[in-house]
Order: sequence, then C-alpha cells, then structure tokens
Amino acid sequence: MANEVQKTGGEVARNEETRDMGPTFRPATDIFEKDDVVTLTIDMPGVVPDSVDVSVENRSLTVRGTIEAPVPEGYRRIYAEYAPGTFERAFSLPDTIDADKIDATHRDGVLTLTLKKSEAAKPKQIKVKAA
Amino acid sequence: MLNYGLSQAQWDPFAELRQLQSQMNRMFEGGGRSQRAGDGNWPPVNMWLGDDSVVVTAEMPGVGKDDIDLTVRENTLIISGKRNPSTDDDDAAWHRRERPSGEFSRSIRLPLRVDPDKVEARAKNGVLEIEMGRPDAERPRKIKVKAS
Repeated sequence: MANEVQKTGGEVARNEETRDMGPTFRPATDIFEKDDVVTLTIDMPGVVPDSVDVSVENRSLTVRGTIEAPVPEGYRRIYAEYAPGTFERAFSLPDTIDADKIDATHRDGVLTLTLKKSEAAKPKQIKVKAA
Repeated sequence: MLNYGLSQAQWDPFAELRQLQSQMNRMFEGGGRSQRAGDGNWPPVNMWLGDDSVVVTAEMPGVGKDDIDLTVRENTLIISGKRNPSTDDDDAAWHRRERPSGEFSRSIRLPLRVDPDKVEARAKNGVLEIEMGRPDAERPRKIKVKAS
C-alpha cells in the first residue's frame, strides 16, 4: 500500500536542476491503515504550510516542501546538525486508492495526508438469491 | 554531477551507481534524522552565537508547545519532552514507521554561561528557537585607558 516509487537516473538529473535550493532530503514518513483510510504522516520541519506541494500524476503521489531556515539576525552559526534544503518524496498509489479524495493538513511541521479507498475497492456483500 | 550530454532517457549505469552511493551515505550519516527519539540525539540542533547571547534551533516536528520542557543551568541547556506516535490505535495496520516517537531528553553544552531569566523560546512550523542571554555581570566590558 502506497509503496515508495523506485527511482532510476531521474533523481540525479533533478538534483542538478535544483542545486540552488540546497540538498534534497527524504522526509521520515509513517504510513498506517485503518478501515478504509490510509494515513501518511510526513515530517517536514521548517516548511511553511503554504509552500507544501502535494501532487498526483500517473498514480504517483509526490510531496515537496522547501525548508525555510532564516539565520537569526546578528548571529553566526557555530554548530549544525541539520541544513536547509528541500524535502521531497514520492509514493506510488495502488489502484485501490481514490486519487481524487486526498486530504492534506500541515501542523507543527508535520504533513498529514489522508487517503481513502475507492468505492470499487471496498469489500461488498453479495446476497444469494433464492432460485 | 557530470552528465556527458546524455539524455535522461538513456540508461546511465553510473547514474544508478551514484544514486546508490548517495542513498547509502544518507542512510549512514542519518543527517540528524535518526529513528529513535530516546537515544539522546533527538532533536537535531543548530547553534548560533551572537555578541552576548546564543541561539539554539531544534527540528522537532509534531511536538506541541505544551509537550516541550526546557531547563537552563549555567552553560547547559536540556530539551526534553514527549513526541506522540502518529496513531495510538492498536487496530491500525502499519506499512511504514520511520518517525521517532516517545520521550526524549537532550543535553546541549553552550559556549557561554547564560542567565535563566534571559531565555526566550519560540516554536514555528516544527522548529524550536531558544534564545539565551549571558548574565550582565559576565558581559565583556571595555576598559578605558586613562592618560597618566
């Protein structure tokens, strides 16, 4: 369910194009399923909610967000464990997911995507008629 | 990265090799994005130095303001708290679980002693910024040279 897209050379080419935006990070992601809903929880600290980009193309779901890390005024950096750049990750949507019913919220630097299974994929009871 | 003018559609075995290498690097360096919250290395921090103050910024997405505890003593800052998992539901089926959760505590040594009364913390989009000032008595003073 919502497997990660296996990329070939494309990632290398994209890094070349987006060099000005700094490195690209793969955000840590939780995926869980309950009833007819699949939820993706994606860590995107430092990303402004308005700049988060969620797109679906050819059953591929891509999330992207630019980290905004302003330098505190009058300060110089003396130690660093994380760097500004871009969060990006792609997932492949199985046919059972309705691509038109994806809900996205962003709070405290966490992007939450709610995916619903399509009506056709839901289990159905078939009544046996008496002959 | 060199491309040798090849179009993207053409298969480049070296591109795949480079990609594998960068993936491995990312896996090992972790980039501060480790999987466990309780190992003393979470959250990842950056440190900034000013004239009479120091700023620590920490990436802690998903941790609400009320779940963060800050302790400042002399030249040590302790960031602790609790990060809730994506769901508490036991019936949920997990497909992927990469985000660290649980209780965390991280002790950070500062390059100067700070005044606990001069601490200001702000949280924005999952990044916590803690600004700490040096005690007045320890500010460097200019000493005028008198003419004899």
